[in-house]
Amino acid sequence: MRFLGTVVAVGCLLLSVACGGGSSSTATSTITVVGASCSPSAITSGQTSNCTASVQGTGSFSSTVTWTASSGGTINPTSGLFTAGTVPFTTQVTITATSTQDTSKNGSTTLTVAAAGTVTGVTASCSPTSIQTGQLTTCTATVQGTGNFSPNVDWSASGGTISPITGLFSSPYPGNYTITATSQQNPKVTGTVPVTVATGVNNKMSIVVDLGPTGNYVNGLFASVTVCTPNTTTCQTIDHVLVDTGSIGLRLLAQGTAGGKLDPTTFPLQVDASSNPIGQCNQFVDGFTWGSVALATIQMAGEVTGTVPGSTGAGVPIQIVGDPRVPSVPPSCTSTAGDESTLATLGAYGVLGIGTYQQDCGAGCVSGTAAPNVYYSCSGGTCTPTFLGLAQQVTNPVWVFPNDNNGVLIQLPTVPSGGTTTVSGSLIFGIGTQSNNGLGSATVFDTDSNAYFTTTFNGLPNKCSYIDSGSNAYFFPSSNYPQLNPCQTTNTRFYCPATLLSLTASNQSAANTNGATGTVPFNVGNANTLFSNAQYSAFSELGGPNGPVGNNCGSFAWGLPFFYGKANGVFTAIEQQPVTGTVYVGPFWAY
Amino acid sequence: MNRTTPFGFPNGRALCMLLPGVLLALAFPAWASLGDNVTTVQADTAHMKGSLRSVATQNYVKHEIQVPTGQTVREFVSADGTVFAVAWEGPFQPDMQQLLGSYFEPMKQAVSFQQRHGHGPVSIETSGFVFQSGGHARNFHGRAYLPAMVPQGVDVSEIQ
Repeated sequence: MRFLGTVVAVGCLLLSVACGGGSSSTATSTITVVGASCSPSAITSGQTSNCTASVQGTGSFSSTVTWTASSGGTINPTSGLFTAGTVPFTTQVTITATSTQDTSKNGSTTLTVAAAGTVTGVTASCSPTSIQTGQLTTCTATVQGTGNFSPNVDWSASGGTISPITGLFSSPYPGNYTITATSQQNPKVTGTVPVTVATGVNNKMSIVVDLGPTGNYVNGLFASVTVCTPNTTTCQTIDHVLVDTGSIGLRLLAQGTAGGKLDPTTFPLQVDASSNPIGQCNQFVDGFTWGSVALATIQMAGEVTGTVPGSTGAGVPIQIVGDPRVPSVPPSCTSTAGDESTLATLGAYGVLGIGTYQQDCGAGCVSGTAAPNVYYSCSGGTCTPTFLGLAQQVTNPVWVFPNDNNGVLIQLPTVPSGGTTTVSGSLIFGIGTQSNNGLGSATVFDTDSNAYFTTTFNGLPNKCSYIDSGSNAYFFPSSNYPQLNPCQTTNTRFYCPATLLSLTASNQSAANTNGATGTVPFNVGNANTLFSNAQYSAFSELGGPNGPVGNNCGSFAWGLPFFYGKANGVFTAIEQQPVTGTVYVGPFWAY
Repeated sequence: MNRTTPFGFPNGRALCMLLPGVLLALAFPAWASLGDNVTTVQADTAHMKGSLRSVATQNYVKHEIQVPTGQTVREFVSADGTVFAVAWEGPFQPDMQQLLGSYFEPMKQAVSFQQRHGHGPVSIETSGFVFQSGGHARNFHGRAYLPAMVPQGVDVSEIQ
């Protein structure tokens, strides 16, 4: 049997590798068959197709071919790359590969070259068209035309920076910019859209960890918040309001028996359809606060709240805890937990709830078979549970900012082992809305409908886990880990291991949009030892027990120690609020 | 502000000595479930305007009350008719006073009596009484039980 070889030539490079030069035929070698094929087999003017030849022969034959094209464009005789020219109508082109060793042997294939369409217009749009310095806007283009035209455009901008391919635009400088989409097929056809870049308001405020107004708070993160009577310049600034990503809405302690700083009298009460004031029993995990619901304009850094979506009036619903204008706490509230409506029990002059929800209660307080023990209609000295519309519920103030309203970023420095007296950091409003709050390299963890994700510790998953600046330690089930025992007699909320424990847990995104996972190293020390210095307020090594392992809703609460020293900070994104220029929509956490 | 617990709570012995006195003081246990008789399950159901579903296991009967406002409450009753555990979950805190009965006030005392101030999930573990409350705004869950009254052969992880 004679040797029968097949060599596929894809241009000269592969050829020279396959045949050591490709032209060393001998007297005894023959060419038997030449085949040709092109991919793609149908192209448009200006496009290219790669043609390859298959040469079969005997002996030490040469597989080198010469390429020719019948019409409709040009072909590189050596490489086989066909470039379609301009054709008046769809044309069938015959591509032929001819053996250089035996020019009587050739193979052909047919290539279809379509007439190019005509681009008639480009429409460009950007969303949003008004952004702040540093914020991204996403621009898209629609190309109109006839026939087989190219839909592709190149992006340019009169300033700032724009990705020529994706159309993502941003600028560090305020001004009016023109964004241009240019047809790749016909650069004479363009579409433009104006984008306004405004100087972002100051979205960054100082926050502090200290001993708080009661002088003994541990890992309490505090901010100063200014509240104004709506549509007036009558304002009060309240210090030491607990920054809490685990609750929703601003709550301030009234002056008087509650021990607070707020004079409530200038803030109009939220009322029901019968003009009866609304009271609230706000439920925390460890107690409740009772007071009125009142309306205020909230100022933090340069941000000022606007009108609550769905509301016609001015002001944002807040809770004034201990407001004497509503009756005393009803039994259906006191029966839920302990009362935290005073400075002594709350440990702060208020709570700034800036978690992942828009309202503190949501649909469960709007309608149903029975009103929950949350909102109350108060008349004749008594208060009874009532339903309340979303726009009337105590609202996440960040969500009501005109800009920077999709979440917050908390930045805190590292806290040394053993603790420290005070810590200073930043609360930044908005995510990806200004140059100082981009997600950067942070990993995004989606939450489920109850604002939980999964944290696995010591092999056991906790499906009701969360990140919460208002919890003052890592609260998690010990999962039978050695030495993770609660302190005895004092500080029983916390663990008291004999030695400092270096632990790890892993977080897992609740939704499947990105499936993010991440390992978190953390340390837990002996709370009795840590607390031996009464002047220390900040501890990165504070842990405590939390619920049972094996519960369907096992819970790892990543409290304030989690926030210390996170390189990217910790983002808390509000439900239904997108992050421009990314695929992410709240609710989520990122760090 | 250092505070001390008046009951020596969470010392288990002090609590156990305290509780009978509290029970006696309640001449009319209009509410009382944990540690009380199975008949209070019906009272709880009526009080919470809920619907009741009962499931018997080898060692206890689990009564599950669906509260109209969305909470689920479970009461665990041993063969001798004692409610030895309760558990809850849902968008709001349950009527904890109804569920815990005479243990409600000591629970509140234990939560508030800490040397250093702070907030977060609650876990009280004593020899006589265990209370665990977790979650955050718009979703709460937890359980309470009496270790001495948990029937033989019951793993406390079943209480949920």
